[in-house]
Amino acid sequence: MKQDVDILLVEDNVHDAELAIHVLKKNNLASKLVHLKDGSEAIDFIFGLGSFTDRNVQNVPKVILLDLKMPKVNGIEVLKRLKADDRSMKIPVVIFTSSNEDPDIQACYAFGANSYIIKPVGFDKFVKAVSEVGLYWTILNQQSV
Amino acid sequence: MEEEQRSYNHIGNGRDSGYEEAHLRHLAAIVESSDDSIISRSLDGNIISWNRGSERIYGYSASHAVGKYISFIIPQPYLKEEERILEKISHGENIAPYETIRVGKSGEQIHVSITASPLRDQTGNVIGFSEIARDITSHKESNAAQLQSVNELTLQYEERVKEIQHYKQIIDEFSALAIATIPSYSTPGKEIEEKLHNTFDHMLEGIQIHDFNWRYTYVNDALVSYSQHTKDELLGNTLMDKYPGIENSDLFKVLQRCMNDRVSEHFETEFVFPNGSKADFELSIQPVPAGLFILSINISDRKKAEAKQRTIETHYRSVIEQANDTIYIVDGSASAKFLDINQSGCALLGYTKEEVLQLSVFDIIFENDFGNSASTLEDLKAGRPIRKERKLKRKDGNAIEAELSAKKMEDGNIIVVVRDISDRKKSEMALQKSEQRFRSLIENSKDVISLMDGNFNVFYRSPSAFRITGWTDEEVGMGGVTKHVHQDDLDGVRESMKYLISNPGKSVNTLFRNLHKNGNYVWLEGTAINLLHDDNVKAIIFNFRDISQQKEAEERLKLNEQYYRSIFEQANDMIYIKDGPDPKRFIDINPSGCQMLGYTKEEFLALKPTDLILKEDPKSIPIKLEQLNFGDVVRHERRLRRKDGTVIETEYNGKVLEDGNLIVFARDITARKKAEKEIIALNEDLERKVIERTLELENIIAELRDSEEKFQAAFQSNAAGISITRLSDSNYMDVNDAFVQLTGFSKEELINHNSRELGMIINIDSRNEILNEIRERGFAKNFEMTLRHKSGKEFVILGAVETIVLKGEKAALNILYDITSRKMAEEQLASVNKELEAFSYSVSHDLRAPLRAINGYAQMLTEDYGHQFDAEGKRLVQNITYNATKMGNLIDDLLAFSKLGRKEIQKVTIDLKGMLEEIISEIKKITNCKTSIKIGNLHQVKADYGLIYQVIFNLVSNGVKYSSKNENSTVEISSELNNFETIISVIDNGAGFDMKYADKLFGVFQRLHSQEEFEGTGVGLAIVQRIVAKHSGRVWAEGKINEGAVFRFSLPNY
Repeated sequence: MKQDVDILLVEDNVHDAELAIHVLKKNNLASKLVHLKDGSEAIDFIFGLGSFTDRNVQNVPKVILLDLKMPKVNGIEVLKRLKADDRSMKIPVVIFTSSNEDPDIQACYAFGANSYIIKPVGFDKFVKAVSEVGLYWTILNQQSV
Repeated sequence: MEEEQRSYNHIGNGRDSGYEEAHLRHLAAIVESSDDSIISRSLDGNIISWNRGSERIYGYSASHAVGKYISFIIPQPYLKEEERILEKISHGENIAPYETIRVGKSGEQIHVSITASPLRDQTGNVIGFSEIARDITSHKESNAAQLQSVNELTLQYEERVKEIQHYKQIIDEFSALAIATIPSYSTPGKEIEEKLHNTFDHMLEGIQIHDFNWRYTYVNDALVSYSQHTKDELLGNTLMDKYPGIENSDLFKVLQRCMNDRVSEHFETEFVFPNGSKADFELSIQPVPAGLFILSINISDRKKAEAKQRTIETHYRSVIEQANDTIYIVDGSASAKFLDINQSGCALLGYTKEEVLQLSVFDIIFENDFGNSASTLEDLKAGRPIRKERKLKRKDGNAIEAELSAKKMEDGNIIVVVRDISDRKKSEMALQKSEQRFRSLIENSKDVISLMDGNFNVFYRSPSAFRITGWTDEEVGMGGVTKHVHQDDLDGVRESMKYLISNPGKSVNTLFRNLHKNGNYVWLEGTAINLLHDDNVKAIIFNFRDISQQKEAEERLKLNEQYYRSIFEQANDMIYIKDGPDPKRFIDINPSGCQMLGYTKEEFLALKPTDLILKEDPKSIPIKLEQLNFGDVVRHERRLRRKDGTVIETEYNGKVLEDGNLIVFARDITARKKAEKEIIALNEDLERKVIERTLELENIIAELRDSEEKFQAAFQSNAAGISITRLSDSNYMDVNDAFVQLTGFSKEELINHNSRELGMIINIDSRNEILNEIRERGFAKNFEMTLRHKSGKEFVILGAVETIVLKGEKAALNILYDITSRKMAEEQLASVNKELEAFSYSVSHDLRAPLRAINGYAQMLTEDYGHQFDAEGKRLVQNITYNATKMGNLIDDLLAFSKLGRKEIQKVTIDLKGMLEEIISEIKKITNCKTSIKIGNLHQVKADYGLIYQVIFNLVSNGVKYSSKNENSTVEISSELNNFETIISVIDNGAGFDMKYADKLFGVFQRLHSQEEFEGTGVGLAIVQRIVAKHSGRVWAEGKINEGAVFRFSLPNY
């Protein structure tokens, strides 16, 4: 199955997104990266809805980097929908958020998040974290399909 | 009188002369053993019987005496006395003991004390009398001997006095003669001189005449005879020649004075001859014209006599003074005044000697004796010594029975020796009495007397013989003495008979069984005496009596004794015998007693009765002693000490036996006593417990009343709404004011209705749930429920229900707190918390994202355009990154701090040591730590692990941080434990701080050092304080600038 996307980055903060993409590019991981700015777009993208109706939903990303705090549909709701649907439930979802609040972490794991990464405040750590997450999920991790 | 009546029957029974004779013989035999003379006489004085005592005393045999008139033993002067006695007897009078004199066969005087009593015939006529005489000669003799020695002394004294008077007379005569002759000598004429010398020559007295030169001019033969010189040697020689040394003697001085002064002297002197011999002289010295005339009489013999007399006088005096008898001398005149008396006399009469010397004899004589005394005095004056018994009157008026001997002395005075015979009189009276008893005994004897000849043929048996033996005289027959003797006793009887025959005058005691006519044997005991040789008796007298009863009694006694002995020996009770109610010693004890007391019998009998008694117990109980002495059985309880010192309690019965001993039965009741004591103790204990319980009950009642009141008060005035509902129908039984207020219903509206009826229940399920819980568990606690007020408004209560029993019914006590407002506050709080959560979420998210962006872009700037920057450009970008990082840290800490407020602590037991090791390794990982971190003594604490980890981490890393500029920096962690809390200290030797800012140490974002000195956010210690406070502990610090700091926090031990 030909995958037209490796990483789906769902991040409303453009600066965070830019920093992350910057890091991934540096690591040559950003060649097949799609950046969406809110949860509803992410759902549309996965299920071929809205502006993504013509998209082949068979092409699932290798990993979804999902921010939690987003306008309209937040990250947890996106997670719930993805993990509740057979078509998307196997897609690894890495929560990538600024929140280190315990309830959020608990909820994410409860709904099937595969990983929970707190965005480091320090840029060095941020770079490192993003690099490692990208490498791991796109290259090291064995896909289920 | 009765006794006398009987005696007539015996003695005066003239009905049968043989009988009477036998009786007299009987009497004679009985009195045979008496030492006294017992003589019976007819009224005309002729002797009828004469016992052996009489033979002994008077020396005449009975055969000589009987039938004779008594006069042969009475001295002539006393025959009159005998007449008077006979007269008295014939009038039936008894004669009281009197002393008189009898004459024995050999002519000697015998002093006797005699009593006599008449003998009467059946009709009471006096037919004769008996007299009993006791020999008191020896007694009299000793009296007389003493008296005689006094008389002899008196005589000697008198002789000496006579002698002296004789010599005095001679001296006087010769002095007169000398004086008469000497004047004529002064004109000497040869004739006269010769005549004088012739006269002198034959004189018995020594005469010497000296010239003025002391030359002997004349000496007569008498002088020469004791001069120890010859006449020729003396004449012409001087006194000094013949008696050298005389000139120095006192005698010579006198002679010289007489010679020179021409004076005469008359004196006695002792003269020592040149050969040393001595002689006494009476000298008459007379100066004569020719010189000195000396008449000398040798008075040595007289002197000796005088000395002897003085000795005798002293003896005499001492005899008088020391004599037990009274001796006094009275004036021989009619006044009869006392001249002298000895000490015994004073004592006898009760006067002092001085008093006696004022008295006359008549003062010590009773008036009715005056006449006698006067005639006695006459007798004495006539030279007749007298001896009388007389009563003397003592000073105190009492009479003394006295025997007086008196004699006139040469000087006409009378010496009297008095003997107190009161005692003798008394003994005589006693003798008389005993004799009477003796007689009545004979006369009333139930004994049998039988008389036997030498072949033991009975020729007389007293009438009682028939009564005792059952055999008549005829049945006994001749030679029948052994006829009825028991076979086994025959040998003994025969032996006694043999002895009697071969020993005349001897008696033998015998005991044997004799066959009674009725076929039984009776025990006979008796004395037999062989008087065959006695002409008066000529019989073997056998005096016996029936002692069968006594024997039986003895047998019974023996049996009884065996019986009692076996009881004594076998009894389980202790039995012992003491010598009386106030005992000195033990007499017997039975084996049980020994066992009980732990002594052997021998040991016990050696004890003193008091040894058994405990020191603290009384030796005797007076009232019990009285009862004992009264003969009662006395019962009491007594403690006795055993040999081993232990004590047994006994029940103690005592009784005084007939022999005066005390028999004691004692039963060991120690166990019973112990049980009694235990019961008593138990009772006491029970009683005490009852009292305690009663008290307790009273207290409970009081408490109950109290608590009822308290409850009532608590019920009524409680802020909580309280209701009591019956469990069966949930109807209200009682409600308090607060409940009325809470529900809006009045008390009347509530009572006997339930909450459902009243529309208070909103959720019926939750209500039923609680009701079930109450029924199942008996209570329900801390449940919340929403109820409807009478006004329709809803309110929330926090309830507690307890089941109680009220008035016999199960009920529920419901306590309702109105928590409507609290509920509201809680809800508000929850919403605030939510907002806070949202706030902190947004803080963590929304504040951090820009910081990262700042960091990120600064990084990108450096990476992508760094090569275009100069040094200053690079520094500026670096500062951007540093501050952004710093702010990130601040935000992290702030979030951590704010999260603490919401965090629940979960206490676990923490091993601080393990925790600390973990902390140290973490600190060493994140810092370049050179500090030496020491772990001191550490205790376990109960606290939230994560939070305390944070606290200690913060404190230790602070310590490390602030001492990092110090070489040899150290941080030491230790803890100490007291009763309430554990105090953990973290001590460093770092920068320290100024104590005046100590209160700022624990404030949020408060720092005492700049970032340049030590990096930090100022949140670490604030977090420490918050965590410690959440554990109800304390935190504090001490420090000094550059001298290190100590941070301590405490955790409660629970």
